[in-house]
Formats: sequence, structure tokens, C-alpha cells
Amino acid sequence: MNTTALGTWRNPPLAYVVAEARISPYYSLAEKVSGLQDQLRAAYPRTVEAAELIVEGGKPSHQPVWQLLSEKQTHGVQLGTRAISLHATSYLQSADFLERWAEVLDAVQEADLGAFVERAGLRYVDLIVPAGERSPEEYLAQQLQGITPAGARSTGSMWASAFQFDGSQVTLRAAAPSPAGMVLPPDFNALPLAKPSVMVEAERRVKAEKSIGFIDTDCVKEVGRVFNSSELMNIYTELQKLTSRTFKAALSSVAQGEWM
Amino acid sequence: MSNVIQPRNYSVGQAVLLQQRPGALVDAGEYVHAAAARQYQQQFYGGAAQATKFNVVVLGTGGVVILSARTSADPASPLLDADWAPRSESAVSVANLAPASWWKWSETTKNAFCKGGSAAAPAAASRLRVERLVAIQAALGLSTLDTAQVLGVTRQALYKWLDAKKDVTLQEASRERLACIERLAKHWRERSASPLSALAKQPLPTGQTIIQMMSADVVNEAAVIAAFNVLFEQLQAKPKSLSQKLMQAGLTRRPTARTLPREE
Repeated sequence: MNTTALGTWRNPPLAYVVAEARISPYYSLAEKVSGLQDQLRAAYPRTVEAAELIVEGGKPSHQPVWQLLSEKQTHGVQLGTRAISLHATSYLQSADFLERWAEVLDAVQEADLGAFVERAGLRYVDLIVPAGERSPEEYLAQQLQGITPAGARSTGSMWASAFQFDGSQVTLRAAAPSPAGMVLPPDFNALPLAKPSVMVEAERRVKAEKSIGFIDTDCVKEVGRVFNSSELMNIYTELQKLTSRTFKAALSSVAQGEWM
Repeated sequence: MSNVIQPRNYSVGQAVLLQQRPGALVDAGEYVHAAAARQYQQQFYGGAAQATKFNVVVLGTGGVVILSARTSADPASPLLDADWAPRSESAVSVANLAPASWWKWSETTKNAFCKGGSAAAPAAASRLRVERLVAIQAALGLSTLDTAQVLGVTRQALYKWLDAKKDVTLQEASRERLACIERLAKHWRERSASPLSALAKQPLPTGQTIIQMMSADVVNEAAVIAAFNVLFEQLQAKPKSLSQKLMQAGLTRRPTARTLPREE
């Protein structure tokens, strides 16, 4: 278990962070993986080979992916034919995470893939683990708390919206309470990383049949350019600010008082 | 040794060539080469049309060189011509130079200069790291030695971190320390626009200085932030200088002729 609380808040709810660069299909990535491994070995010494199922035009196919994990398995880089991403369950602060991501991008730049970046994405998953007798929906802004008919008790509620900023789109999904047993958002492909303490606590509550929630903030920007690490880093810095702004707008005063 | 001048057997062209500064020859070759590449690119760089030897036509003196290159495909027609007029009307002498001559030397020299002169663009991670360190230094205003101390590294290591061209991968412990100091710097910045350096060596009620607290093996962030509050109060209580009083009253300094222009 990873005991480091993620982020600079007093009780940060952050559980998982992903930075991803979607690229046009790169079928000869296998030839470049060894070079990337050498570049990233110092920080990510462990390699796991996996496969991802891709369904295109109704025809599924298996494509190889390589997962490079840090020694403590708190960070992992996934190299696939369609995306390069950095996953983390340990997050000191945004500048530190972005610097790690910059190192990955620099390694890709050094490897001279010449990949075409379709879009850039940054995704944060925060878990609502209520304190005391509170319910998960109390941590969301009033407008996101949904309805509760008289005499009913909410067992699952999910709210989703997309916000357009200048050139970027942020998708916010809030589940409070999340459907029973659901700790992470649906269709979320996590790497086998060490669980942070907030996730362990959330799972404990789920096993005790108590309710939890999650807030999934996903920011995406269309890039449409050949890979350039410096340009991409400017984009990710901007994405981080938009993600943070959107996330904070979704919080209630209870959440702000307890977490920040 | 003879007392009589011995005539040397070489052509005018060769003589002038030997007196030219190599740099001028390289420049001249570069200019004509680039002009030809723009004009005759398809012929020059495509497969069989690649030039195999150059005829050097030297006209005049004073650094004027006209080159004509002939392709192996069509030796009769010149591929490129420069449009410099000769400075004198000296006779032309064509020296048919083999590849292992000044042309090859100029190419080698050019490549060496280009290689030495070009600086690789700093990597994105290095730039980010330098930006973070600069932000810390701007907020805290500490000397390089004190900054290295609070970051838990030597001064030499800090200089390496501050060099965006150096490919430095931080250890986990260094990353955590940097993140910690960055948070503390941000805390101070939110309280005061004045750098911390002015108060860094002042003893606190605990007997330690803020530098000592931030240089500890394990930094107690809560204690440091509490110390910031104490120092900030001390800063507020300090008697203000005349310029600070005037600034508080809303008066600004009138720009004079010696004032540096403001960057917009």
C-alpha cells in the first residue's frame, strides 16, 4: 500500500492521475521500446508486457503494450501502439507530476519516434470517503447532489457534464454515492500500481457496505501535430489548470473545509 | 642554397588560391552552393545528377571566387554560376581540384563549426525543473549556498540542476525535497512579496533560524509555516523606509531619463 497522500491539500482525495498522449497507430513501436526502456530504466526499472484489445470497424485485434513500472509501483509508463501515458498513485504536486511526464516525453523525443499526436489528455480521479456520518453527496456542489424522493435512499447516482474551454474540453463525472462496489470509474484502465491510502480506505468502506463516491475529471485537447515534447508540455500545463479549476467548482463547502 | 631566384612552376589560379583566406573560400563556396541548391535543387540533389567534381574558376583578387560545378551526367554545361563580377581582369586559370582538396577541407570545417556551434535545445523536463528552482529562488531570495542547503544538495549539484542543458534525473528523495521546499516557497509568496532572505537568519522563539528549520533532514512543514507567520508579523512591525511609506500612500516614482524602459 502506498501511504503517501496525494497532493498538497490537508486531506487530499486524489487517488489516481493519468497523463496520456494519443498517437496515430504506430505499428513499429516494438523496435523503439528497447531504446525507451534504456532512457527510462532509472525511474522505471520494471517492465511488464501486456496486450490491449482494440476494436476497430467491428474487428477486434490484440496489440502489444509495455508497462514500465517504478520500483515502488507508484508510477508507471504505458507504451502502446495508440497511446503513451504516465499513471501515478503517488502525487506530490502538479509541478512534480508534470516534470515526471516531461521526462517521459523527452525520452520519446530522444527515441525519435516521429509519432503523430492526435490529442493530449489529463485525468484525475478523486475518491469521496465521507468522514463520520456524512454521505458522499454532501461533498459535491449543490447543483450536483441530484434528487432524493421522499422516503427513498440513494444507492447510486452519477452525474456527467462536458465543459468547453478555449480549445480544450473537460469532462466531469461525479458519482455520489457510487454504485455499490464501484471504487474507480467505469471504463478506466488502471495499471497495476500500489493503492494509495485513500483507495484502501474506500475499499474498506465498500466491504463494510458503506457508501463512497468519486469525481472523475478528464481534460482533453486536440493536438494534431508531430510529436514535440516542449510543445506538448505547454499543453499539459494548461490542461492541469483547467482540470483543477473544474474540480474545485464541483466541491461543496464541506469538501473544501475537510480536504483543503 | 643558391644565390639566384629559382622560378616556381605554378599557374596564376593556384597562386591566387593559395593566398586566399580559407574562410573566404569557405564562405564563397557556401554562398554559391546555397544559391545553386535553391535554383537547381532537383538537378543537384537527385540521384545521378549529383556533382562529382568542381572546377574552380578564380577571377581576380580580393576574395572574389566564382565556382562552377559540372555534373558527371553532363560535363559540358555548368550547373551553377555565381553573379559576382570580377574585380580585375586577370587571366583565368582553371584548377581542376580533386575531391581530396580544399572542397573536402571546407566541408569538414563547416561541419565541425556547425557541430560545435549548435546548442541542443534543452529538454522539456530540464526546463520545467529550472523554472521551479527559479520560482523558489524568487520567492525565498536565498543565496545559492542557502538554497542548496535547504534542498539538501551541494552547491555544485544545484548548479547542475539550474543548467537546463544538463540532463539530470532526480532521485525520489530529491523530488520530494524539491516539492516540499516548493510548497513552502509558495506559502511564503502568498504571505509576502518580500523575499524571505531578509529574515532568514533571524532567531525565532524556538532558538532556530528559518534556514535551519528548512535545512533539517526531515522538514516539519507545519512548524515552518508557523514560523513564517511569526516572521511575517516581525516584517509588518518593522519600521518602513521612506520609499515604502510613499508607495503605501499611493505615490509612484516618476520615470526619469535614466530609468530603464519597462518591458510590456
